[in-house]
Amino acid sequence: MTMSRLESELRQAFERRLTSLPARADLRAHVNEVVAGRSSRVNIWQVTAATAGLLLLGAVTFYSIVSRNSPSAPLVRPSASGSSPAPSTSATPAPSATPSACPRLWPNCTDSTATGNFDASGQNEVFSASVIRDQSGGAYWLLQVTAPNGHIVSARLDSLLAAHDGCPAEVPDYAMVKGAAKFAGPPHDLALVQIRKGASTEFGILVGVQNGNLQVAMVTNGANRCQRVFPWSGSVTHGNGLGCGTVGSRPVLLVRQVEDHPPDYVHYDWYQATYKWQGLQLSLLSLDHAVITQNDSRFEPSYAVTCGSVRIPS
Amino acid sequence: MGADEALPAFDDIIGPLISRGYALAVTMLNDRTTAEDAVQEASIKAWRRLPGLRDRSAIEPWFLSIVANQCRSIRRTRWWSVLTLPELRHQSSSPDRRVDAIDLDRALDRLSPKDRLPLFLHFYMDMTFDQVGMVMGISMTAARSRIYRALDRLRSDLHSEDALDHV
Repeated sequence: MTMSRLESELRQAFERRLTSLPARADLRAHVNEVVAGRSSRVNIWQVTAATAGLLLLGAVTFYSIVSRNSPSAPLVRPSASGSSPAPSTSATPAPSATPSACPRLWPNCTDSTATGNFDASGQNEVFSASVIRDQSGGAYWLLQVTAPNGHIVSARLDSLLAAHDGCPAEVPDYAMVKGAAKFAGPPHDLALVQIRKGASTEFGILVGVQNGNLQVAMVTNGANRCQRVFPWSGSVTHGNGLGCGTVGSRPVLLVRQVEDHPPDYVHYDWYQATYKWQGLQLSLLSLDHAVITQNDSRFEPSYAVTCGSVRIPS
Repeated sequence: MGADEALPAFDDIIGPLISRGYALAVTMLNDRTTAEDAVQEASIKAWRRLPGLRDRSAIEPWFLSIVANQCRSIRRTRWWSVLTLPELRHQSSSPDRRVDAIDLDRALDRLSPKDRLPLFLHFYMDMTFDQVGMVMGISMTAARSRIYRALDRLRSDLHSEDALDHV
């Protein structure tokens, strides 16, 4: 085949691909809508921030008046719920300062927390994600584990997801703690932190305390080496899920995917990668495949996150 | 900036690039829903980063580079695409297609997205080597090398398929 003919054939081949996989007719309008939605959320935050600012000013004034008239009190630190063995979670809007730190078009600036035993001390700590405004006017997400005794382990989200060991950086959109569970087996809890949301798929990382530092779980071998971001949810054509289990007595992470194939919404290719844990490193043990239908018990978990008290969708 | 103000501004600036972004995404990902996801996320990122874009005349390669990065990020988390794409493409081939075209489609499927992307940008989107480099985050010289290397791989794959057909 001559070069000019190859060029022409290539152009036609790409054209055929695009014709066989056309975009939805309203894609441009849909994307416009999503961007506008996120912009209006920013507006709400701006209004909330202004209100919060006024409230904060009032609170500071009130506190200064009260403190002038009362003996000094010890600093109150975030405290965990104590002896409950099961981690509990909450994701509530921050009442005051956080919204004002929400940069334009960030989809989410809400503080979120989960309670769990992250350092294997036997006591519960609070894992939190919050926006910090730096001095240059920028903002970043801070992940933090706070022990009942006030000890804090923290790290910037962008640092945790920076390039290292030949693996590329991941760019998070935000951080929302979805819950905590023993994804890597006892005694440690890991926090599931959502960092991105697509049109149908949500993306998160597993964060834990290792050697006194916060670290992110990552796949270290196989075709998916470097994977740190795990998807869940999906659409009628594909799905992703995450679970935990054991092989023998060894804790494993189960990463599941389904895809409508052939495209008849009846048959789905189901895949499950089983990873063993070594600290927070994941190593591929096995990869399973089957063709299943929606009635198969493996179908639903392939769209969900299920580990301990973490159940998405709940 | 309010939602009402943001909407026309976004549509004026990024809107015209969305169909090109989708074309790139579906070429890299071979999946319609995933490609739409990628374009949506890339558009939001682009809109957020737009104030940092110095040369507005380079907005298309700049936007496409964000789409390409988003596709790479998605591919890292969706390994089944690597396993099943060739079969998917074969299913969608119509029976009366010319054998050459089918061979070329298969050879393109077998190329890695890293090789397919520069071919698509150069031969389908008519981008210069310089623009291809900008989208891929590499130099113009490296972009040219990638295109020639991908062409070589494609040709040698086509030849080996030819050879098999004649056994």
